[in-house]
Amino acid sequence: MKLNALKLAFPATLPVFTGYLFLGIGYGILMNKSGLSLPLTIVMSSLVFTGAMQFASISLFLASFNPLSVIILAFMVNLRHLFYGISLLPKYKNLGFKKFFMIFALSDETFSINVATKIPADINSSWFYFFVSLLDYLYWNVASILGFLLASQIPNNIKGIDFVLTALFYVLFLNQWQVKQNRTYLLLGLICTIVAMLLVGKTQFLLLSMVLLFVCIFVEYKREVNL
Amino acid sequence: MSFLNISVYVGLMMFASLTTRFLPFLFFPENKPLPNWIQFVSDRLPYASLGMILVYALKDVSIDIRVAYPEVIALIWITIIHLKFKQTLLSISTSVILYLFLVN
Repeated sequence: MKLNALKLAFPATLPVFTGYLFLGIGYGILMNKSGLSLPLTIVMSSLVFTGAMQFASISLFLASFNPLSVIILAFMVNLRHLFYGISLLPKYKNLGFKKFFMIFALSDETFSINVATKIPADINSSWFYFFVSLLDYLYWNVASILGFLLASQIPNNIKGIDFVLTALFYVLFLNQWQVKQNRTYLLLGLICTIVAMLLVGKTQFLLLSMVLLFVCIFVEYKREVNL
Repeated sequence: MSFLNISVYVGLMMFASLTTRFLPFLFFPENKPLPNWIQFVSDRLPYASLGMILVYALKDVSIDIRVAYPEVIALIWITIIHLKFKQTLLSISTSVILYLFLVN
């Protein structure tokens, strides 16, 4: 039962493997070249486990001590996890011990795969979700350690391999596009985020985008209730 | 930065990661039925989030087509090949090869 779930989960995470290997190695190299330590790299990847924040934190570690700006930035960067959690409430249920780890190890990629993969009836979905979470988590951790250790041996990386993650998001988007009733919300997500980006710029549009999306869906709920 | 300062930073970042990830599950524990409105929202939010992630992933792409053509061509390629064959790994791997060819 577990093995079948793993057999389905592994190929589903291959694009993440490629993307995380590339980005994680890049992170490890940067940590090393910035004069930060291997234990710190391991702690950041295993306990904080947020790619965007980890990259941003490198320059913060090297600047003067300013905890307030760190906590604000960390919350801004991580805020989207609230949406992933709400989206996964119906799926991450009755999972026992696995649930704690799966919530802890949430990422954009794990969320997208778990929410958008149609799991055959003969496969245990909770083990599939767990293995996707575990594999993605391991890829990132192994890659960042590798990057740190091999920093001096690794030549200039080939530019652009991280496009694999964009391609993954787009393919998952297209898969959901096949189901007609999902299209409204896929488009809503695109439009609200683009509008938010045009209004407040590239660096902090996520909060506004989430507020817009939430309000739109909540207004729809209110209208349906009143009908 | 001192060891203590670094530890404070790590602690704050962990705090932000953990709260944003766990909060929805703490707010709506699985032993209680979901309120109607949150059920309604969580049925629709996955798709809205996929749209949001896609824009987020493309946020650093230039709006100038002369700069952004590798992304544009690779995404068009995915659209065609994926709607035809519906093979996730085929669509992704071929588009990445095409993209790498265009940017390098």
